Amino acid sequence: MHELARKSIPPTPPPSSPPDLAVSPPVIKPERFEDFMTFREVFIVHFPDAKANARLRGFGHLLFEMVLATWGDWPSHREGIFPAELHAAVADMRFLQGAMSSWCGPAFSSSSEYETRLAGVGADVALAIGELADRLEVELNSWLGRPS
Amino acid sequence: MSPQAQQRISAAWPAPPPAVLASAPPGPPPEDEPPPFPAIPPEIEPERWEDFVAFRETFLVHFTEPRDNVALRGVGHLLYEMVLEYDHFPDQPEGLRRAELRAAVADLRHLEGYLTTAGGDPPDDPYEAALCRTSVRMAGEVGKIADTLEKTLGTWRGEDAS
Repeated sequence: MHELARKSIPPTPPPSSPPDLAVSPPVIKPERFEDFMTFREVFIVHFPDAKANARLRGFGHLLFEMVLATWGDWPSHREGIFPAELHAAVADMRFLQGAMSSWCGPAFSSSSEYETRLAGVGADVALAIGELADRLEVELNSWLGRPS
Repeated sequence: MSPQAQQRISAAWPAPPPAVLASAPPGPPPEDEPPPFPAIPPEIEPERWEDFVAFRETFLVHFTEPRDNVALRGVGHLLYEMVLEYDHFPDQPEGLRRAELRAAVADLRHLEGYLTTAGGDPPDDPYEAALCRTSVRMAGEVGKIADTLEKTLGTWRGEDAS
């Protein structure tokens, strides 16, 4: 076959790929929290495409590894890293409190009995997270009165 | 970007940080300049949770250089706005509402592990030792909250019953 003709033959199409499967949020074992450091799961849930989801997680891993390798060059937290980490945990609790109140609060409506029950539990959970955040915040702010 | 999204970003970020406006990456500060006040975790008002969706605060706490912290938050906003507009992904098999709550359970499990580890090695300083004890107690309670929600969600994740 002539070289040009051979080039003009389109390649065999790949076998038809299976339908796209959506990725569900993972079950996180608390002791493996460091594998999930960068992005919130309530953000990653918007990337249900398996490849996009895996790439985003991979990027998150890389970013966290790079932070650990370089963060000594940045200014230190004045209150110390441990209280700052707990302040960050409070901020994450407030975030979840708000997200769940928004999804499961008074504006919620669904004709499904299951989802209505789920929203009721979600609203209770939002309140419980808020109470936990309050308690941790009180403990953290006791530092403000501590003599330096 | 939708006008609504633009409005939300403008409300959260009234003016772009200088590093964003500059045409070239900013260099390090002059040596005689005092060190910058480090960026600290924000106080999040729960009803403004959508301004903080992409990155965990327990991750951002490491970015103490203020302009880096602001830049990363800006990237997070951008990514979130883009993914909300992007409609080429497959649907969640069990529906978005349940998937979102399952994602919240995953975030609670992350927090449970984080608080357990953060409080696991109490130092001599009495204030920090008290914080460690609180942190471990809180981890247990966060775990119980996650259990409650997880139990209600059940094990079904949209698999075909056939």
